[in-house]
Amino acid sequence: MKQHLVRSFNPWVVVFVGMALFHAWRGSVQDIVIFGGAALLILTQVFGLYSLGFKRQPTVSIAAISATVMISAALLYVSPRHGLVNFLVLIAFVPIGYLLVMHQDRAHPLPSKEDLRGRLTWAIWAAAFALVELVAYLGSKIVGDLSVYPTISVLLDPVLDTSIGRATFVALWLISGVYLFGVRRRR
Amino acid sequence: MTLPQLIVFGYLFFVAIGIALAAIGRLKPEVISPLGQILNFVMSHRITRIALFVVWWWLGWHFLVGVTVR
Repeated sequence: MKQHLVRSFNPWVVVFVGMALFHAWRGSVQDIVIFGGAALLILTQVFGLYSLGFKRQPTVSIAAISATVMISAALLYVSPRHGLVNFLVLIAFVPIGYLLVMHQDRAHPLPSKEDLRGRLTWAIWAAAFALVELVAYLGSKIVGDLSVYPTISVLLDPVLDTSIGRATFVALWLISGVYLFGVRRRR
Repeated sequence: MTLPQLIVFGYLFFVAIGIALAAIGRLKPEVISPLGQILNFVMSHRITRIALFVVWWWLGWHFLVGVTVR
């Protein structure tokens, strides 16, 4: 039992459970489901309860990736924010993501000290960034004014309501997705 | 400088730091490995792949589908 408890303290489980609790406090039901569900999925991996998946990441052609990105970008750009089309496009990415990430781990050489230093540096950067956002959110709750302590969401909301802002966000979001889970991983 | 401006400056500062870290990785790989190499390593773990996909997907959901709870 104790061993199971220790194993469940995977850093990502802690992060996602923390996010789910934070969103529970905010009252954002969707985010509770997303992060709570992600924590449960990762727990199935930690305990080896679910190991289905390809032997290696499926090879997707550049044409298929380009078509997916361009169709998604067009749909996300022309349809209204928070609308049904955006919802369907995002839902469609769930099975695509499943295919791209749920393959078996591949063997890799031990990380060099530069790798470990880089990983730690980027982790600190991400944690500090998240901390600034958290402080802004808590500050806005304490003073009851989001304009005094603006969060990134509050700052980006009006930007995303403009054509150029939405186009930029959609492009950056999709390109980062391809970089993380698509073309680059096949090398 | 007002408090909201300071917070916006803080966000931009972190973006700038991120760009600088990526540049250092490329120009001085003996200091920290390039971002692509680090990602190659962390993405070889299924749990990390799942976690990063959830974070990436949630960003799209949060800004394009969900309505910010204020």
